[in-house]
Amino acid sequence: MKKLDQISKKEFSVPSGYFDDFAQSVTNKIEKEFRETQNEILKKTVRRRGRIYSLYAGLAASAAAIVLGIVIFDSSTRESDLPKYNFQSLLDTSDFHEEDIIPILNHEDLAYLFLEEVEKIPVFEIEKKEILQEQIKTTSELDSISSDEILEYLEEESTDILIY
Amino acid sequence: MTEEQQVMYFLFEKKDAEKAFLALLKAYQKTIYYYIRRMVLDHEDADDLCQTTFIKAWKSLDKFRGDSKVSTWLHRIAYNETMTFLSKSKRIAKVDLANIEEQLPGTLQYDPLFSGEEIHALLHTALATLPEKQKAVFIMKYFEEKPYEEISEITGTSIGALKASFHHAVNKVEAYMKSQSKFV
Repeated sequence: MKKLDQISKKEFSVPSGYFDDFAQSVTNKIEKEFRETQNEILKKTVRRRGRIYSLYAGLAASAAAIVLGIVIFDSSTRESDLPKYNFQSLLDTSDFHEEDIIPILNHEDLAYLFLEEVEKIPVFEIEKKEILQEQIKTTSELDSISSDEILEYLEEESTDILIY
Repeated sequence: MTEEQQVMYFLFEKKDAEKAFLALLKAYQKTIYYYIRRMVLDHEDADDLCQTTFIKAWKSLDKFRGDSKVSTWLHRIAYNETMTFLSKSKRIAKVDLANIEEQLPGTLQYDPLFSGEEIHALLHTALATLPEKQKAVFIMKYFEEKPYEEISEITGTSIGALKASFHHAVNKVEAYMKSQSKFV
């Protein structure tokens, strides 16, 4: 019997030109895999962007709905629920009456609108200011938060007015 | 400059991964192919595994630090790929010993790409009876004449265990071949 070390070690052959083409086959496969990976990444990116855009669109829609709701609520509050006041004429009038101001200051939304008008007046008449302050102090005793805020605002503003 | 040095030169001095890879392909395609072919026997399977080995090598070429020889590193990839393939497919290495004499020599001798003699077919039939790892050790030691140190690096097995494994493999192969009276 032949010993193991007497057996030749060339028992397999390969198709003609196999090793000549092998490198090309491998590099082709690598390029194909690379292209497939790139395509997959591209698809994933597009899908991810799509999801992000959908999210943005969703958020934008929600935000728009919220803003629209606020605007509708705000405008409906201001336009339909609030009593109509002509603040400008109220402040301009020489016969300023405290009973005209109290209902305004007792209503938070009206109070802010009123203050906006006050801000527009460059010089505030001391008499009016004093009356107004007095009314606000009285109103704040009615446990109205908005009145406290108004008082604070007017105290800040009072310096110029008092100097005048 | 040896093939090994050429690969290392392109990889570490020229920083040209593509040239290094082409040099790697050219230098080791035959060695890797024949190792895999002896493990799986079928050319198509060997071709697939050989290509997969080089593709994996390309993908992890940037992680190769030169701690071992590039041929050892490449052989380790081929070894792992082949072992995974064999354990998954339950092919030749798992052929039932009772039927192997009928199956394997016939398969090999009718394979147009098997150029060996009858004794080669018998040798591969004997190898098919070995556990996969023992067969791998036998192929690396007997056919490729690799030193135990390198086989140890490739397989992650101690040299002592490899010597024992090869000794058992040789005994089993010889016993199997002796049992075939026509070769005595």
